[in-house]
Formats: sequence, structure tokens, C-alpha cells
Amino acid sequence: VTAIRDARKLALRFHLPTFLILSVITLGPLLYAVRISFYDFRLSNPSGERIFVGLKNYIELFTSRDAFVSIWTTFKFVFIVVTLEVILGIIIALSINTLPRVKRYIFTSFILIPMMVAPLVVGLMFSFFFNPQFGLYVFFVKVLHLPLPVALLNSPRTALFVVALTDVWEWTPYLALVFLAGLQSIPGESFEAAKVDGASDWQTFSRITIPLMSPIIFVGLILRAMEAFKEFDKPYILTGGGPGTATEVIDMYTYRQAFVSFNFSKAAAICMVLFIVLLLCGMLYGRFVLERNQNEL
Amino acid sequence: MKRGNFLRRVLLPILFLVLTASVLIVCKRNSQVETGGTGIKKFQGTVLHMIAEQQTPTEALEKQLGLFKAETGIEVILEMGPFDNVVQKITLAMQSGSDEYDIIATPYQFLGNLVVNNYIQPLEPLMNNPELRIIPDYKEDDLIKGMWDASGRWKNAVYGVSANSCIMHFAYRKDIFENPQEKAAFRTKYGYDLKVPLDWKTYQDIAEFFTRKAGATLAGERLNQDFFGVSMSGKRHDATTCEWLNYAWSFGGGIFDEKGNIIIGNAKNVAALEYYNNLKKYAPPGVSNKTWDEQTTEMQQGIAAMAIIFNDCLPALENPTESKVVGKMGYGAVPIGEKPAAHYGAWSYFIPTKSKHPEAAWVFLQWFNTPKIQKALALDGAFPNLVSTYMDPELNTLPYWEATMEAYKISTTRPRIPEWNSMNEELMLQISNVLAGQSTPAAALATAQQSFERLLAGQLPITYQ
Repeated sequence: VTAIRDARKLALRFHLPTFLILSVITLGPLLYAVRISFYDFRLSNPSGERIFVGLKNYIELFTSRDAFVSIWTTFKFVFIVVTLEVILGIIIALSINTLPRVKRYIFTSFILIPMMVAPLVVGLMFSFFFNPQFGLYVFFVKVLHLPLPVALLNSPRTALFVVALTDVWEWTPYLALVFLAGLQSIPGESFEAAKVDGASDWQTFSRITIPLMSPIIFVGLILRAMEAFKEFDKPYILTGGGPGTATEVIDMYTYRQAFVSFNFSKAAAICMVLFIVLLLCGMLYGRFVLERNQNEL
Repeated sequence: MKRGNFLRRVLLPILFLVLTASVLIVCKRNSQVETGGTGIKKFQGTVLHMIAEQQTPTEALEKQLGLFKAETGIEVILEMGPFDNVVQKITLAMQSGSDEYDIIATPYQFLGNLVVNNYIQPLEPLMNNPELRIIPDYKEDDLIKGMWDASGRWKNAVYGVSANSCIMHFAYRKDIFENPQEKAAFRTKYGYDLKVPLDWKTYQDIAEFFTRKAGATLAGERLNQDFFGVSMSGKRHDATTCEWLNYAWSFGGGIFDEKGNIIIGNAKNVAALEYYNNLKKYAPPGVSNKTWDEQTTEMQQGIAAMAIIFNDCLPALENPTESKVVGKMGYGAVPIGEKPAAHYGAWSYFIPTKSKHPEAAWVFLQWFNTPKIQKALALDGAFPNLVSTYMDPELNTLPYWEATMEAYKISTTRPRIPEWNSMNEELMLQISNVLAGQSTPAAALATAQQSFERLLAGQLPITYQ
């Protein structure tokens, strides 16, 4: 009992500085944001910081068409990126897994390059790439006489998909790496047994690989969904949320409320809702990982 | 780990870091204490912190700051960044009551917001203090009054001075407008002479006339890429509302009528937006994702015949290191509909209420508005605030100079009320919706009208903007 107590005290001592620092830089602003979300704090209304409006900002958020459109756009964006990234991530992981060790190391290093580029720079790179006059994309379309539109970011039908593709380019390698680690942790006996039983490649993939990888796929999916939900840089650089509201994800909507319309209370209310959604995802992830660890123990 | 070890290995290093950081901060602050002097060196040793958008005039100013330090002993630490970033930083600094900045640059449309929140201080107490008149060449009556009022005056007080006097121009490819073959072809097709458009009908005809596919001939030369009649902004961005407001005002519309009632949904504005939307078929593809930056590039690359664009983009068109159209451009006034209009879009310098060195900041603003500095900035691509600088013979050789002076005579300003940012945000969205084909001009502006009425509920009519 004394040893456990000492271990707990030691753990507390190690956690204390981090806890104090995080409290100051995270908890303080969070509590302030909670507070102002119940007030009418706008720059155009100087005394609004002291006017308590209860749930008005939250009600406005859930009844406003613009906010609804933005939330719906965010879900579409998350769905597109997570689906494509998971599928491509599995394909890349499977391909890399078949390579000999040296080639695997080289290839893995290469595919990590997009992840090392800042999201803002990714946005700028693709804005040049898709520039309808001078971009590389339009060059290929013209040279190869492809039956494709030249201004992809200007149509509400294609803009969101193109923004999502830039995210897929940047983050698929991350999932590929996670899935590769998952693949390599599957015991070789399972595949050998399937081979002995005469299972086809597809049967091995669908009955052994995917079920055994499902926990890691789920973890990757949750992590990417949480990140994609917070997407800001790429739509901001590529389209500014337009055309119209076609690519206005929730973080862009929040940014506009705070720094264009200067309605800080409404922006804080959106942040709170976003925080709760991400907290739920985090709890789901935490619970899943903890349960898995306990089962493994 | 024993208690002694924990203290030695964990807490002491943290304490050491905190103490070191505190000492450095105190030293930095002490270094900013005004050491003083006499005359023009009265504030010698002072360090001013300033933030402004990274644009040609600010970059030009940065080159002169060494001179300011040499003359006054005041050091200016200039922080530059993109538009949104600067607005964000200023907003956070003002809202948190920070004393970080001594001079801030914002577009004048923020003036109402800054004043009602008491974020900036009136300049009169500084202007009227004879002890602060230490810059010999500074003369208030040389400042262009209309420009100063628009960019710095709110009701009965002056809060700022113009940082960059941008105004919208008509810019066109003089070489192809004056080409005899093109002139003859235009006359044959439209029945009148090809000339600088003075009205919107001519503007549209010229846009249509010059829009050609690759392989066609332009001014006797075969085009190896598509050529377009006009370059326009259409992104959900300030650039789009800035450009479209020229059309709206000229068509007889605008935001408010003379009595201060909202008129954004009226027929004249709808006609202006229909015209704008129709014009995009003569522009390079992708209008709904373009701002003045892309317009400048399109004009520099010589793929469009004309544009309505801010004058601070014009030096880039005449820069031989980055433009293919140097010496080929002509400049004039925005075409006229019911009335002449040119969008005045200046940035202004303000002194925050929390500034640690307001007096030294005012000395800087005086120095900034001296003829010597204004001319140096103008030669580097900025647009001055002084009557005398506009008359300078050397500057009058710049190809866009005369057009700029003419444009000021018909300048029109956008509202500066605290709600304008929210209104502008709505207007950007509605114009973007129209250009993206998601709404009609009438429906979009009707929505804007409702939104404006909601934002200004209880305040109408707007008697001061």
C-alpha cells in the first residue's frame, strides 16, 4: 500500500507542472470563452460584454441557416476526407507491406513528405496548382485535351471536393503509416492458416486482414475525423469559404464571426459546440483504446 | 525520487527559467524607456511598435525608418503581415487591452468600431500641443482635407491620418486600344470609335470585343493563349465588394440613400449586380475565386485588356522585373453611369488608447506626412497624402499619376459605422452567391437588405457614416 501511495505521489509530482501550465494556457481561455458565449460581446456593441443573454447565441446557432449550412458542409468534408484517406491508406499500407525491407523504408520516408508541409503551405501550393490561368492542372487539361473544367475551385459543385482532395494528399500517408503498423502486428500464423485452408487473396483480405485491423482502422478514423472537423487553413487559402458558402466549414464560419463580423460571443458559442463534439469523439477514442489495452493486458 | 532530488531536478530548473524570462522581459521594457533629448530629438531612445499590412506602401515606409531614427532618435519596430492576419492581431490586442502597439494601420472602415470601443485616441490633444511640433517640414494644411476626413475623422474629432491613399482606377492596354487594325475592326462591329470607355455600355462592348480564343489575332499578332476583355474580382472577399461598389454607386445605387435608409436591395443596385455578373463571361475563368491579387497578375501577364483596380496595384504593372505590360498601359477614371464614382479605400494610421508612447507616435505621424517622406514613398509605389507631393514635377511623370489625381475628384467612401464589417461580410457572401450561380442578383440583394435591416435595427436612419 505504501509503495502504491509513493508511486501516486511521484506521478502527481511529475504531472503537476504540466497541469499548471495547461491550466493557465488552456483552461483560462476556455472558461473565458464559456463565459462570453452567454453574453452579447460584439465590437459594434461596446457595452455588450456585460449584457447577459443566456442561451441566445446557442439558439441562434441552431436556428441560423448559415450555421446549419456550415455544419452540413463540415460533415460532408469530414465524410469525404476520412473515407478517401482510410481507403487509400489501406491500399498504400498493403502495397508497402509487400515490399522488401529496404524498399519499404525508402518508400515510407517518401510518402511522409506531404505530412511535413504546413497546412497553410499545402493550401498555397494547391492554389497555384489549380490556378485556372497559370496552374499545372490547367496545363495538363489543355495539353492532354481532357474533358474537365479548368476552374475547379469556382464551381460550388466541385470546390469542396477539390479542397478535400488537398487534405487527402496531405494526410493519407499518416493513415497509411498507422495501418502499416497495424498490418505488421497481425500474427503471420493467421495468414499461413488461411493459405493452408486455400483462401483466395480477397478472402484473406476480407476475413483476416480487415477484421484484425479493424481496431487500428477505427482509431485512425476517429483521429482523422477529429482533425478534419477542425479544418481551416486549406479552405481559407483555396476558396475563402466560397463560392458562396460551398466550402465554408465550421472553423471558417467561426473565424468569420469572430474576425470579420467581430461577434465574439457567437464565435465562442460555436467553439463550445465544437468543443463538445470533439470531446465526445475524444472520449470515444479514449474509451476504445483503454478497453483495448485492458483486454490485451 | 526523493524530495530533495525532485526539487533539484524539476522545480529548480523551472524556477530558473521563469526568473530568466522575467529578467529578460524587464530588461526589454527598460530598453524602451524614453531617454529624451531636445528639439527634434525630444524622444530620442523611444521604441515605437507599429503594425501594418504587408503592401507596397508599407514596404516603402520600412525603407525610410532608418532615416526617421537618424533624425529623431526614435526607433520604429514595424510588424507586417497579410490583411487578415493584421486585422486579427489588432483586434486581439485592442480587445485584450494590450499596450503592445503604439501605431496601428487599419482600413478606414474600422474607424467607427475603434472609436466606439475607445480603442484609439483622438489626435487633437497631441496636434494642439506646441511642444510636440518638432518636425520642421510638417504642415497640416498641406494634407488633402477630404482624404484626411475620410480616413481619420469620426464626428467632431480626428483619430488618424491616411496611411495609403488608394483609390480605384480604370486601367487598360493602351497599345491594343490604339492599334489601327483593332480600331477599324471595332468601328465596323459596333459603329463607333474604340476609345477609353466613359460609360458602362462602351465598357461592356470593349470587354466583348477583346475576348478572343488562342489562335485568333490581337493587334496583328497571333495569340498563343486565350485573351480576355476584362479582369475582375469575385471571391468572397473584401476585393469583390470594393470593386462592385464602384458599379453600384455609378449606377445610382449604394448602401444608404441621402436620408440614411438602406437601399441595397433597390433596382439600381440589382442592375449593377446584373451587369457585374454578366461581365464575368469576358473575364478569365475562375472569377469567383479572384481578388485584386489575381487581377494584378492577370494584367501583369497581359491576358486581359482592362480592369477596375486600386491604384496601389498599378506600380506592379509598371515594374519591369515582374510585368509584361510595362509602358503598354493607360489609366483613366471608372466609367460613369448615372454619376461618377471611384472607390476610395485608404488605410489609416491610428494611435491606440493604450499606447505607451502616444507623443512619440504623433511625432512619427508628423514626420510621415512631410513632403520629403511622402515623395520618397511615392517614388517607391505609395500614394501620398499631401497636395504639394501630388504637384511634384518628378512624380507627374509616372504614367498613372494624372489619373489618380482625377480619381480623387470623384472619390466615394464606404460606410465606417461599427456594423459595416458585418454588413460587408453579408454583401461579400451575396455577391459571391450570384457569381457562383447560386442566387439571382435580385434575390441576393433582397437577402442583403433584410440582413442589413436586422443588423441596424433601432438605428435607422443612419445619419453619420
